[in-house]
Amino acid sequence: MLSLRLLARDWAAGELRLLTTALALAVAIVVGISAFTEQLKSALVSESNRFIAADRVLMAPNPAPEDWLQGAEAYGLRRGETARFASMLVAGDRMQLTGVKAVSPSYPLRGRLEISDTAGGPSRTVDHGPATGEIWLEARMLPLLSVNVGDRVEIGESRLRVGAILVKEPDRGDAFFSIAPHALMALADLPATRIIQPGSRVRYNYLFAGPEKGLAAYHDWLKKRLTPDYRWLNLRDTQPRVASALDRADRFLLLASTLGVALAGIAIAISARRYSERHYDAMAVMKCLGGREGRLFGLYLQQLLFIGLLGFALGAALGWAVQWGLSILLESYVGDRLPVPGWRPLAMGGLTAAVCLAAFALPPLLALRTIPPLRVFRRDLGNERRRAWPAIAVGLVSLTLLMWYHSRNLQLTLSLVLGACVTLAAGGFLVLQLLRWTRRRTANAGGALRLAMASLQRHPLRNALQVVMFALAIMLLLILIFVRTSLLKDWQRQLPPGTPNHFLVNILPEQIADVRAWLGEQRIAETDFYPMVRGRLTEINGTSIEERMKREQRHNEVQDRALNLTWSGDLPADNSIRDGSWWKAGTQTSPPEVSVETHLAGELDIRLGDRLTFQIGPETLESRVTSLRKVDWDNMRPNFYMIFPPTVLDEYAHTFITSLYLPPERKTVLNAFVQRFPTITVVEMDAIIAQVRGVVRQVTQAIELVLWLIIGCALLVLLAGVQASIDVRIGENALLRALGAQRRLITGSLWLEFSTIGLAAGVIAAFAAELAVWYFQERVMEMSYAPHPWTWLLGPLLGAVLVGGTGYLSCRHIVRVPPMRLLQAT
Amino acid sequence: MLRCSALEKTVDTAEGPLNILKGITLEIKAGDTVAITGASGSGKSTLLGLLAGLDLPSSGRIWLADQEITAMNEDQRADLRMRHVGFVFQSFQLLGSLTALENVMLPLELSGRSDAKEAAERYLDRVGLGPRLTHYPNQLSGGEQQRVAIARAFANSPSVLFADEPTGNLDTRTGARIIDTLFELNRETGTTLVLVTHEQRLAERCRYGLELVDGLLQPAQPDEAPC
Repeated sequence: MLSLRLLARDWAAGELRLLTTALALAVAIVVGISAFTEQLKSALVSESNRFIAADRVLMAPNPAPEDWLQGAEAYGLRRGETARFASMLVAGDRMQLTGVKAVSPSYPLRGRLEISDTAGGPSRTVDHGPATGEIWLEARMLPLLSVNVGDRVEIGESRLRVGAILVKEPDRGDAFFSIAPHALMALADLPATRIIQPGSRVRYNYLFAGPEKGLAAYHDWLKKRLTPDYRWLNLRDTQPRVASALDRADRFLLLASTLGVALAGIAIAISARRYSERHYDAMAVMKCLGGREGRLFGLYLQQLLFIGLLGFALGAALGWAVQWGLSILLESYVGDRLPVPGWRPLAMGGLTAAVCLAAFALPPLLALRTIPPLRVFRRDLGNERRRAWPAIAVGLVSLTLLMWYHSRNLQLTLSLVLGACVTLAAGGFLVLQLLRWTRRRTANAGGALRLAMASLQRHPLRNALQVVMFALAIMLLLILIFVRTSLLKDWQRQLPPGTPNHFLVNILPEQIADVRAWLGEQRIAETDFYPMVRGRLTEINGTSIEERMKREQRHNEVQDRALNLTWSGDLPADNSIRDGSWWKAGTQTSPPEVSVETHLAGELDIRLGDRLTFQIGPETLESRVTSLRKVDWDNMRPNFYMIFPPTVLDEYAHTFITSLYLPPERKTVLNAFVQRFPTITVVEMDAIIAQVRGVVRQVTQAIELVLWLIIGCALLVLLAGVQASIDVRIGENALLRALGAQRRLITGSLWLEFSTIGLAAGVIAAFAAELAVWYFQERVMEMSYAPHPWTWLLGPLLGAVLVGGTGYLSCRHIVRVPPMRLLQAT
Repeated sequence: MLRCSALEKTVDTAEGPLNILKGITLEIKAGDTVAITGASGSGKSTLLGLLAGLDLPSSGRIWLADQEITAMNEDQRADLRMRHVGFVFQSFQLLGSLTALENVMLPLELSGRSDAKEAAERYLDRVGLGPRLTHYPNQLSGGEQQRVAIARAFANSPSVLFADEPTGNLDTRTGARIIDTLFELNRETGTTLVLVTHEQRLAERCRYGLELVDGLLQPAQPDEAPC
């Protein structure tokens, strides 16, 4: 095949490497990132291993009807069951109030349990709970009950053997408001204990695991039967922090792949254009030799197809390797083998390759068709400026569609594309003006500078275009660096060292002084003590919540459960007023004021001035909304949806809550605390915090790796841009050398010329990136924006060094090869 | 073999339309050798391009191998060029990414010849470049490059060979050798040769001489008479 032979010859001459590399990188980014985001989603599912021991949990205050549960099997789901309650464990004369979880044989559906035979001894993992007749205790219970593994303890009317020490359980993170310490027993033993009586406080969890489709379908089926007492939980409900970290990582990776594809598209367009221009002569000669236009163009089309296949194969392999590397990172954390991503990422890669070639490489090749054979006599034929608009329009529309397809966010895509267009058009205009302005100013400059400026001014339009292209590449790179940095910072800020990792709940007012004193003795710092009153929000402006939500055909968990209400004279730390105003100390109004958290207010459509009615015990309390408050839920301090002014809730029964930080080595202090204050609930958050940190650490590594891929793309754009202008430069500089210009002068002028282009591109890029990041962070990532003063240094510096360096490295052979050879070659 | 009548070519310039050729009528018989001379910018190359079917005249008609090329579209003209026409250019017009052998193979491959390689090797051997088959154009001297171009021009056994200043980029001695090669091959193959040159020595080797003056053809001066 002639086309393949021509292709092989062009390949040997190095003409096609850049084009193929750019295409391969585009495919690699798409395949790698989309395969990895698929795995991230699997990881999200397997994360729930650690937190809910299942994929979904149905939480119920009473045993759920058996036909509901059997329904799950029709959807291909596995199921399990746990019942949680507080009970007194007795061993000899020792007694201990314990949080007990009775589990079915299939528990846990996800994740594993870790047990040991001696306190602090080596542990082993198992994938089932205790056998019937056995109970597993937390290590700190052994001294409390003065028992060892093998001894018996009484629970209700049963005597169970201590089978093992419970080190870790997958849904321990879900221990909110459970009572520490903790024990695990078989569900089959529960009836014999006779602990569960009508009216007992038991929480039943029905666990489900299986394919995502089956879970969704089962939920749809079940939803119609559920009463408000039931809650359907997934990881997002139970572990919003982990879910939010993974969500943000997902969005970041989508942004990265969007920008990566955009960069690769630009590189493809530039290198295809150069490839096409370098074949004008060949096309004319072949037409001269009798090649038909259609046939010759067909040859180039076949080459393009072949490049497409090669680029796709290389890119898919590279992408798969990237995905594999990333998934190893993730697996080391998740612990389970992640499922191999399906064919979808490969299909996406193939589609991207096809669109990139059709949109970016085909238009320049189309120009080859119209090269007249007469060009063999008149080389200027075919060089006349073509109308670039159709090609630019096709490229831009395709780029927008590609970015939209990858980001799945039209708003983000349009804002990025429009922002880039406007800023770069303005930037290009400015550069042109600047070049005109410097023409007069540098006329008297010496040596290399004058040479560099003369070269820049000789082709103002071409250089302005190059500046704009480079600016685009640097801008996209800066955007990604900004977002990555603030993402990592945000994560670090969420959980700084010393973040409270334990909550003390159910503190009676009269215990506060003792608890404070005790913590003081142990030198443990606590956050403030917040009063807590349990109450249900029943009406808004006199209309019941149920009616209101039914009218809007929505459901909110507030309908189903009581809220923790508190009071405070001062606005708590990490809270900020978004609407209305905080109350002044000492003022009392009727009805009393209330401050509502903004997210909940949005969900329930609560506005400033609305009347809210609460049911607290047997009584009702009416209040008026005077402020809407944004709360940082990630700060691990006690946070509240509803805050009242002091004294409003005084007359209602209330307890207090506080949070404290306990380093791992001091964890045993809890034993003494629980013994001293048996009625106070200790909620351990340290495991969750460790998990969130783990997720963040692994995802951070993934992000860094992806960032390097994108940097590779940006460098490719620079390389393509520099190479596109290299032919002209080689000719001009060879002539200069022939005329006696010294190597140093040429090298200096090349450095200066490219650095100036890079510097200008960097300034434009810094401005454009700052604008885009402001938009992206505020609107898409839901993170707060802060300006980046160092961009104004980094952008131009990055531009000057990268473009200067790439330009110099690409052109340095100009000064090494004898000028005669260069002149012959041009 | 080649004839044209009332051939005119006008191009648009910044100063208005420029009439380069003003009604040229010409007939060249098969196997003839014709030199077209003229001052720089007189339109020699334009005429050559029109006669070879690389461009269309503003008016007038051209026949090549008994077919009217002015009535053909670009694809039909390309077919005709492939079957009947060979070219030698002043600037050689070799493809830089192809070796000497591959450059000669190109027209043969385009016409679908299965023996492209053997034929190309034969012609390169004939022009004395047998040992240089795998050299790229930038590894060859000007004279060698032009010999590759001559081998390429003859490789497809054309009926008419158009040569545009074939020695224009070469020194006298190399030029003389190139002329020898060109005419030797012309004799061997019986090809019609149309040469554009401003070199007296080269023009003298042709059977007829024509001079392009002010857009019109006239016989060359007696002292430049055909040889």
